[in-house]
Amino acid sequence: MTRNSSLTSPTIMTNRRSFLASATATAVSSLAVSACAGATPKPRNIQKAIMLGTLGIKGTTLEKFTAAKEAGYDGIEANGGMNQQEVIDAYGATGLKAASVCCHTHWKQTLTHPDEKVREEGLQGVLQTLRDAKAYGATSILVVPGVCNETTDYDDAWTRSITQLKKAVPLAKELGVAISIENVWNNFLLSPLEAVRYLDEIGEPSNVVGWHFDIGNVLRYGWPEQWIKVLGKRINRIHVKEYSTKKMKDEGVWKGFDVDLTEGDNNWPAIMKALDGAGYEGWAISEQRGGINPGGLKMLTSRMDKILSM
Amino acid sequence: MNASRRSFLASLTSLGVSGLAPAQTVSGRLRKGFMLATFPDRTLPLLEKFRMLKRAGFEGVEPSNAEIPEDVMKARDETGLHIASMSCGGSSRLFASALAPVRAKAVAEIHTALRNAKRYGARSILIVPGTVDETTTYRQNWDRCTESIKACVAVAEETGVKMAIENVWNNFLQGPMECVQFIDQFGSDKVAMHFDIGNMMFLGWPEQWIAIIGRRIACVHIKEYSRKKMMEEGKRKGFEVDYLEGDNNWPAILKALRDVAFDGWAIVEPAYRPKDIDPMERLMEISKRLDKMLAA
Repeated sequence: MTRNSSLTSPTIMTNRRSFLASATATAVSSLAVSACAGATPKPRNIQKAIMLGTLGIKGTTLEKFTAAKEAGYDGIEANGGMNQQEVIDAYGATGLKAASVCCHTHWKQTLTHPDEKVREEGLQGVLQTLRDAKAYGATSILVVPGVCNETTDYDDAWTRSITQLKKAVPLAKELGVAISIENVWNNFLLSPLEAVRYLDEIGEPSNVVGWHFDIGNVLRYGWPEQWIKVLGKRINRIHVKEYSTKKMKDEGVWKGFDVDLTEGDNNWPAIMKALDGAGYEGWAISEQRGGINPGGLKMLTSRMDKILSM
Repeated sequence: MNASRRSFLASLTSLGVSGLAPAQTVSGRLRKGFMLATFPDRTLPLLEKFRMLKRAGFEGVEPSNAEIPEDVMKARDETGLHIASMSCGGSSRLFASALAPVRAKAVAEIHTALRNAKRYGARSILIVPGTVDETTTYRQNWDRCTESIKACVAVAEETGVKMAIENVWNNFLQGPMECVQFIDQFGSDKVAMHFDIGNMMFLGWPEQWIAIIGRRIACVHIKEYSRKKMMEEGKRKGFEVDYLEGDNNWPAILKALRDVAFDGWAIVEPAYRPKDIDPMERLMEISKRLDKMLAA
């Protein structure tokens, strides 16, 4: 980064925010007119889904889908690179919708790997996931943008990740499937302002490249409600996950995830309020421990119902 | 390699051509400082602390701006220790207060600190850029700290003392590129980085941050961290480990500092404070371990 690079300056971002604020104000005032009839607040237009990787039922794809359906989910986030026909059939048989598709290569064949060949494999994984999404009827895929570690520097990760994703943009546009970047524990993009700056550097509208916001992953560094406010309309999907900062402090950072929905330190009312403020609609995808049997899955959906009504 | 690092290396090369003795950066040991707030026995008088640090082999002290300037000057002159930096965390955390009068007071305190630092002969002061929490959002913290620091730049320019921003556990500036973006917005070399090596190890690797932040680093805090303890016992427990026994890769860190031609103070801020050890003995032990780290 040069000292004079044309970064998204705080001024520009402030302007955009005040623009959004004025747009919201307009929307609110027109809502206010139509709300004079004294109607109760409109229920949120959010559907429940579960990430297939966290669905702990043993069995075939169809058996897993069926268990999700019975627990009350409306959708599934399948993985990329699966047997496409089998997944299509499972969606068809259960009537579940494709909430999203999670890229299957992004942790091993990272988009930021020092070896160019590996980065290309990572890109192929993203492209395959886009095609899978199209086949399942999903309009967004989940992509981890890379990993910083001892051998991949932060600034190199930035450049490589953006370079690879730009190569996937034409297919995303052609298929009408968004690439949504997830915040994970990859030592990369650890602040909401930087996440926005990263998306802005790619420079596509959010229905081409946007964000897949993981609520639980953020608590180690910050507050989900603040991230949501900053990312706003760039959020295409959310992962619903609990985290205990108390366990993080007393038992270790990974132990923070070892807590049931609504029993950790997520401030769910504030999170839901922030999602409302961002006008978020669509899928709430569970990536939460506990879905190991039908009872566990029901526990998850009923707790998610509670959260979504906060 | 990014453009600024490349052009920096290019300028180093040209300096080499013009005759900079390589020995200065290759074998010149960093000067040893001690952050006073982490002194093993806080009840001792200031002058006594200075004397003990001198005896333990330290060359500089980082007092806080809460100390009485005359006392600092006196201790400095009696012991011959340098004032390496001045920590102003208490004042500068209020840069992001929601209350304008509190921010104004913080700015006034930093003006005073910059002027005192000049009297002390310190090249930089330590600034903590607010805190992000439930009530202060990332954006608010960014904007308020920016405004407060801007209000101090003229005094920093006038005194020639840098405001060096420390990375601490305040949930703000959590990546090296964002540190650069924050610092560069002021367009003044009097806004710099006070890089704490241990504080960012839960986020990444110090040697990488150093390479990216580069010449903006005016000062470093030497601190150990154990990622193993972080994973197994808790985030804060990561600090409970003695120098050279955590996960810091000191040879890589020292190499990164040499690569960016860092020539500021290496100030120890021991987060690990074993109990029931004689303070003088502890200072000697820290000094010995610091020698090993700096020789890496």
